[in-house]
Amino acid sequence: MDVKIAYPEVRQRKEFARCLASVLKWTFLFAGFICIALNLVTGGKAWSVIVAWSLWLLWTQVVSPDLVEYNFISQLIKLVVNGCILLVFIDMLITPGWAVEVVPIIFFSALLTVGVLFFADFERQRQNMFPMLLLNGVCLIGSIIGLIVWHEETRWVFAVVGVFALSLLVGCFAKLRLDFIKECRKLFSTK
Amino acid sequence: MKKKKPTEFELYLVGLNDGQAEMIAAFFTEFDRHCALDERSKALMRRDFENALLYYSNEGLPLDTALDRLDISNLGSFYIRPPILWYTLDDAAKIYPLSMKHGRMAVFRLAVNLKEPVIPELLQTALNFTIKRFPSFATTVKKGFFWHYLDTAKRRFEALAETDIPCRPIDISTSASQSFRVLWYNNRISVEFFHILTDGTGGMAFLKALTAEYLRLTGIRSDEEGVLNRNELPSAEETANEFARADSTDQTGGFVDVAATQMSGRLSSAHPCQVLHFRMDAAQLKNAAKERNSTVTVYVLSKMFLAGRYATDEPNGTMNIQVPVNMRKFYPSKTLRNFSLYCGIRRSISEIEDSTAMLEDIAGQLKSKASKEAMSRMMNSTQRLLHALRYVPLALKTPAARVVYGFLGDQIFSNTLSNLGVVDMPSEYAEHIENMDFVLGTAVSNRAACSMVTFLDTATLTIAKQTLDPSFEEALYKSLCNNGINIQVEGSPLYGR
Repeated sequence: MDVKIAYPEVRQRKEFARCLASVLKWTFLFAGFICIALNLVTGGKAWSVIVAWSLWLLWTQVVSPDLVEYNFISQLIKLVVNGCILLVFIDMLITPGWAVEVVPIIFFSALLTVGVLFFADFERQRQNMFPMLLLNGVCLIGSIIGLIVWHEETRWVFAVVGVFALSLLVGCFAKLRLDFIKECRKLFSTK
Repeated sequence: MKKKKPTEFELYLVGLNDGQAEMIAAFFTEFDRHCALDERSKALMRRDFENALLYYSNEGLPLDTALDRLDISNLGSFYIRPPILWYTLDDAAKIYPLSMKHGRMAVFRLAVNLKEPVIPELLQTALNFTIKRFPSFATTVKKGFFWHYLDTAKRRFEALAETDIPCRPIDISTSASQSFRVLWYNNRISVEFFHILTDGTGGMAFLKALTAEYLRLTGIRSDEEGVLNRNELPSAEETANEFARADSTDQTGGFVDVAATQMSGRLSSAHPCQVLHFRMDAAQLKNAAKERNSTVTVYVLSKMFLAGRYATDEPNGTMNIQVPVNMRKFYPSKTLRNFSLYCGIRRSISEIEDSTAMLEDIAGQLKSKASKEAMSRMMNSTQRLLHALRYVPLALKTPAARVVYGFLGDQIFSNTLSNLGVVDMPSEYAEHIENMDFVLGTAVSNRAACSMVTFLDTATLTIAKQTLDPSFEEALYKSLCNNGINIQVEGSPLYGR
């Protein structure tokens, strides 16, 4: 059976990239498994949770990025959320007492950055509104929970984050008006 | 300061007389009136027109004829209006973004092989003119809270030179990224679609419209009967999710089945590792089927079972070939979205033989499993499943779908045969077309996926392979040749290991 070649030759570099992704996947899984096993054998603080989450963060952010909705805003939000979960783990498992102040500050900074990026390039970024709405939602819910649960001096940070998240939502609505409802219909469609 | 070197188009403008220069200026003024894309996209699209004009000039075509062919009104209002349309995914499309992963995506290719080499400048212009007729293709995949959806993307859609493996995944991750790609290589125009957009029928409508527009730009005249007119308004039916039209019944048909025997060759690192086209005389193929009192699809299926038998070391088990079923034959529709389901034709390995009994069994299975009743049951099952999942957030659905798809995947099938049937084009255009190709992307564990399309007197059976083991295609080739069918084999080099 003679085959007449009717397709172009493919560069080997792409083949290498495919192999590398496969090797990295197994390396990450192996590293995570070894850490958990070591931690279980040696006992003590659950440091392997922090290592596993760090590996996950690295995996999802660098090695295996999102296949849909991969833009600067969504990646920044993903990094902030995953990073803050990591900080909470460190606070809970290693050195307690600081995350309650640090995490809201990081979320506030993230809201500020995302807000600037979103409104500075509004026409292009309106298609990427969903991650920002989610961040707003997380911040609002987080600040309400924070205000209810914590009764110490640090309460004000939750109030600031909540108010800022709400004002960003109002800003979106003011800019989009009826289109805001349309965007929400897209984002929350169950069909 | 160093003076900027004039572009080829600027040099071309210098050589024009005043009247011609005015015509060009008026042409681009009109272009500005029809294009409100971002600066970069607009500059690129302007260059597309410049390149097309340069091509025509080099070919010695009079300027007024060139401008007539490139008439800016063909852009319509697509590039001037803001994007407002969006589309929920049809029932069949919902699984594709959930199950895809890096290096794996449900992509298929439709291609037309012309008698002359493709002119890239005109292909790009043809794409610029054609896309507005297919609003659900001019979209980008977005994440919602519960489901993915398609959001209109107003951009310059690109036609690129083919440099990579056929049906490789499409990068749909960035803002306004396109979910299909138009490629050219020598005489071939190919369009690769992410299955989320359309099925073979919808894809073929696009390829035909694009090819017709390309051939019109080369100067061929036709009434374009049977091709979607680029300047017609798209109808709502063309973008409808037609799965809701299933006959209401309490009966449902399952997706789960027992695992099928796979061919034995080791899975390759590249997907696919090779594409082979068996070009056959359509009349010979039809006669071979007719001599055995069967249809072409049944005949080819029987040959695939025989070839599959040679390609596996397993002495027992069953082979199951997936056959997509076009639902438009049961529920007439103009939709360009997905409107096809599938059935599985099973045969025990020990019973695979070159006999009339096997042909009769395949024909019987095809008749019952691809019947309207069976397909309606499957449509009902799909709808019920989607209805049950509608309030589950996408963030939970995605990992769950990946796990389920990872376990089930394509294990219940050994192979696929998707037959698009006979495709026609207006005779004026058909004269300039050699044949057509239909290539399915490979699944997870199936070593081959077969697809077929017939254009004029050439039936092309394509095998997209996922193993370097040549047993399947060699056995299929011999078996068809033994029945008096002359085959010319074209294909790709081997990719990967």
